[in-house]
Amino acid sequence: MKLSHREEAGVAILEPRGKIMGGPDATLLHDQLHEFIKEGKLKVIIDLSGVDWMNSTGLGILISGLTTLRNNKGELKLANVTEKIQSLLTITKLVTVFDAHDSIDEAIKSF
Amino acid sequence: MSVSLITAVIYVIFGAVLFLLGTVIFRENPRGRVNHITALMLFFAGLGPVFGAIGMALGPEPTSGYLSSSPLYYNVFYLWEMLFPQLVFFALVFPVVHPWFVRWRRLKYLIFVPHVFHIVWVSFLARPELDFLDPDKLTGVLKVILSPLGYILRLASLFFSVLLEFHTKFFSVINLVYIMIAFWLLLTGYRKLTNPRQRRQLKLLLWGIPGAMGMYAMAFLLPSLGVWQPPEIVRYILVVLALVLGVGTIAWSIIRHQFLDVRLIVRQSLVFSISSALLVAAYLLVIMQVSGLIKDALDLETPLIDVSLIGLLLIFFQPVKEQIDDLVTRFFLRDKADYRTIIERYSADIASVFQPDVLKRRMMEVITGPVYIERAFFAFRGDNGGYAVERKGLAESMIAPAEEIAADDPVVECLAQCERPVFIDDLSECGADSQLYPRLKEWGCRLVVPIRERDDLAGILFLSEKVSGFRYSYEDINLFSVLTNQLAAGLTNSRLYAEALEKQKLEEELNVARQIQIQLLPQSNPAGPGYALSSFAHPSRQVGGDYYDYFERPDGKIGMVVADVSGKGVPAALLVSQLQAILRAEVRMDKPLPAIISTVNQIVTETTSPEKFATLFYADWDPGRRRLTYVNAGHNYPIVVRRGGTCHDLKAGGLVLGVLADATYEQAQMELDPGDVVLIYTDGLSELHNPAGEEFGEERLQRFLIDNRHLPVEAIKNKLIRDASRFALGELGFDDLTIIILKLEDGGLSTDVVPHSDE
Repeated sequence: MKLSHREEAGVAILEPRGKIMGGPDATLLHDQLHEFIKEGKLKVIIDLSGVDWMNSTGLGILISGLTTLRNNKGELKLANVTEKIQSLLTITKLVTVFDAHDSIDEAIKSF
Repeated sequence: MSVSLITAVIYVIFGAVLFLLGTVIFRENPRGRVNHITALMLFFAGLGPVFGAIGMALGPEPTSGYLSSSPLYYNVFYLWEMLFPQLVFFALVFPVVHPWFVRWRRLKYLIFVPHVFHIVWVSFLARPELDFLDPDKLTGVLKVILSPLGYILRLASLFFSVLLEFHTKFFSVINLVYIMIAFWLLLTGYRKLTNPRQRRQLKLLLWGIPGAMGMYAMAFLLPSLGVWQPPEIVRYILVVLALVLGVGTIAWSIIRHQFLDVRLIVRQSLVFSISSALLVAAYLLVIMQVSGLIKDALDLETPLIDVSLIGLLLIFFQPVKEQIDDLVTRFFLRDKADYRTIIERYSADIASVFQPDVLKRRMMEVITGPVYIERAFFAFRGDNGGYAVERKGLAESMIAPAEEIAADDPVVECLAQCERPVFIDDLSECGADSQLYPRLKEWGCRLVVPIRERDDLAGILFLSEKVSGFRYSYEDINLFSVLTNQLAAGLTNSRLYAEALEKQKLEEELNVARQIQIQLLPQSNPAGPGYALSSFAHPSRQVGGDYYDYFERPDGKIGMVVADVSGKGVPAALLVSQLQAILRAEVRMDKPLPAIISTVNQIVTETTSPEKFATLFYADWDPGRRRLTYVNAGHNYPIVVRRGGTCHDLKAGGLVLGVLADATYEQAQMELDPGDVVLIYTDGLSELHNPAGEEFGEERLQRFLIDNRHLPVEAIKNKLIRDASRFALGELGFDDLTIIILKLEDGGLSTDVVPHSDE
C-alpha cells in the first residue's frame, strides 16, 4: 500500500493505493492519523478509490482509525468505496458504523 | 691439548647438529617410514663425531685402527658405522619405496650383520684378556674342562684371527661397498623420477654421496691399504667433512621434500648445537683439570680415572642435555608440522563445539600452550558497545591492563581497519590520544590481533612477548590470523546455533498451541434422526484465527458456531480461545440468542484493541421442529440450498464483534425441509484464488451446492474440499478455512416446498 494525503476545505484526505493488508500498512495509516490529530485536523476522509481489495486486517486498520478519531472527538468518513469493499462492509454490517460516500465532495459536505 | 679441545668442540657441534636434524625429521612425522629411517641414519652419523670428540678427550688410542688391544669403549664408539647399512635402507625408501624393501620383509635386516659382528664379536670376544680360545694359555679348571676340545678351539681361534685380520684391513671396504649400493639405488630411483622438483632434490644427493664416499676412502681405506698415511688431524677433518657433505645433503633433500621450513631448522640447529657444545666443552675442561689433579695427587697413570670421569660426565650431562632439549623443543622447535596440528585440532573444535566460552578457552590454551606466549587476554564486544576484557583459560595471577575497553578509543578504531595482526609499535600513531595505548605498553603487549566477524570487529586478542624472547615470526602472525578467523567463524556458528535452537523452541510452542486449539475443536459432529452434520477445519499457519464449535443447549437444541478472527498466528488464536470460553459459558444459560451475542460482543470489544474484531455466525438447530434460529454477526452469509434447488443467504444479525460495545443484534428463523443443505463457511473458502487470480467466490459455491445437494453430507463436504483445492491447484490457500454442513435427510420424501423467507 502507498499512502499520500492532501487537504481540501479544512478536511484531511488520505489516499491509500493498492491493497490494505496489515503489517506495515497498519503502522503507516495509524501514524498518519495521529499526525492529523496532533495538528488538530479532526475531520478525515479516507479516499478508497485506489484500494481494490482489503483483508480482515485491512478492515481492522479502518476500524482502528475510526475508533482513534472518535476517541479524540474527530470524525472519519470513507469516500469512493469500490464495489468489493462495499460488499465487505455490507456483510460485516460495518456500513452501519462507517459513514461512506460516493464522492469526496459529498463526504466533505457531510461534515 | 688446546688443538684437540677445539677439534672436540667442533666434533660435538657437528654431532649435535646431526642429532637435532634427526629429531626434527623424526618429529615432523614420527610414523613416516622415510622420517624414522632418515632420523636413525642421522643419529648414527651424529654418534661418529661425538665419539670422536670423547676419544680425543681421552687422548690418542693406544694403537690405531680396529685393534683388539684398544680399550673396550673404543669399540663401542664404532657403533656409528651403523650409518652405512642405514644409508642403504634410506636409499631403498627414498624418494619412493623400492620393491626390495617390501619383498624382503625380514631378510633386509641382514645388511646389519657385518656391523653387529664387528661390534659384538670383535669388541668382546677377540680381546687379549678374554683370549681363552688359545688352549696353550689356559690354566687351572678351564684347562681341565676345555683341553679335550683343544683342536676345535684352535681352529676357531685361527678362524677368528683370520677374520679379525681381514676385518681390520677391510672393514672400511664394506662401508664403501654399502655407500656404493646406496648410490646405485638412488641413481636408479633418480632415473625413474619424472617430477622436476624431486629430481632436483635427488640430484643434490647424487653429488653429495660420492663426495662423502671419496673423503671417507681417503681417511680410512687408503691408510688401511697402506697407500697413504695422513696425519691424525687430517683424517678427522676428512671424516667430519664427509659426514657433513653426505648426511647434510640427505637431510637437506628430506627437508625440502617434506616442505619443512629450512631457515627455522637451521636456526634451531645452530642454537641447540652451540649451547650443547659449550656445555660439553665446559665439562671436558672440568674433567681434564680434575683428571690431571687426581693423577698428580695419586701419581697414577691409568685410564680408569678417565673412564670413571666420563661416566660421571654422562650422568651429569644427561639431565642438563634433556633440559636444553626441552627448552629447544618448547621455544624453537615449533615447525610447520606443529602449526598444522594446532590448526587442525582447533578446526575440529570449531566444527563440534557450540559454546563460545569453550571456544575462547581452547584458543587461549593453544596460545599459552604450544605457541608459548607469556600473557594474553581477549576483549569481546559487549552489549553496551564497549569491549569487555575476558581472561578465559588464564592463570588467576595475570592482571589485565583494563576491565573494559572503550569502542571509541583511537587504538580500537585503528584496529577496526586492520585485517591482520599488528605490532603494538605500529599503533603508536593511533596511540597518541589513547588511554589504552600506554596501559598496553606498560602491560607488555607486543602483538594485537583483531577478531573479525565479516566487517565487524567482534573482539581483540592482546599478546605479550613470547617466553623465548624472540620476535614474532611471519609464521606466528599467520597462525594467529588463521586461529582468530576460525574463532570468529566458531562464534558466529554458535550464535546461529543458539538462534536456531530458539526458533525451534518457538516452533515447538506454536505446535503445542496448535495441539491445544485442535483439542478445543469438537471431536465429533452431533447427529440425530432426520439430519446430519459434517465439518472441516484447515488452519493456514500453525495456529489459526478460525473457529467452529457445537453446543447442547438447555432446551435440547443443537448450537453451532463458525467464527473468523481478524489477523493470524498467536494473537488471533488468543482471541479465538477467548471467544470460545465466553460462548461456552453463555450458551449454558437459557438466554435469547441476541442477548448471548451482545454479551460476547461487549466482552470482546472491551478486552481487545480496536483493530481486532471477529465475524461470527451462530445458529440453534431444533431437530424436532426442523427450525434454524440464528444470528449473523458480520460473517460471510451461510448458504441454504433447498431440495428444489433454490438458494438463500442467512444475513440477519448485526455488526462484527469487537467494534462497538453497545452494538445490538437480531435473530432470524428458518424452517428447513428434508433434503435441504446449509453451508456455513469462512472467507478462506470463498476467497480461494486460482493461479490466474480468479476467486472461488460465492456464485461457484452456490452452483456447487445446487449440483451436489442430493449427495450425503460427508460426500458433499469431501467433494467440496476436493473441488476447492483443485481450483487452487492443490493449495488450500494462506487463509484459514472452516466449513460446517447441515443436511436434512430427504428420506425419499419429495414435496414441493414453499421457500421460507429469512427476512
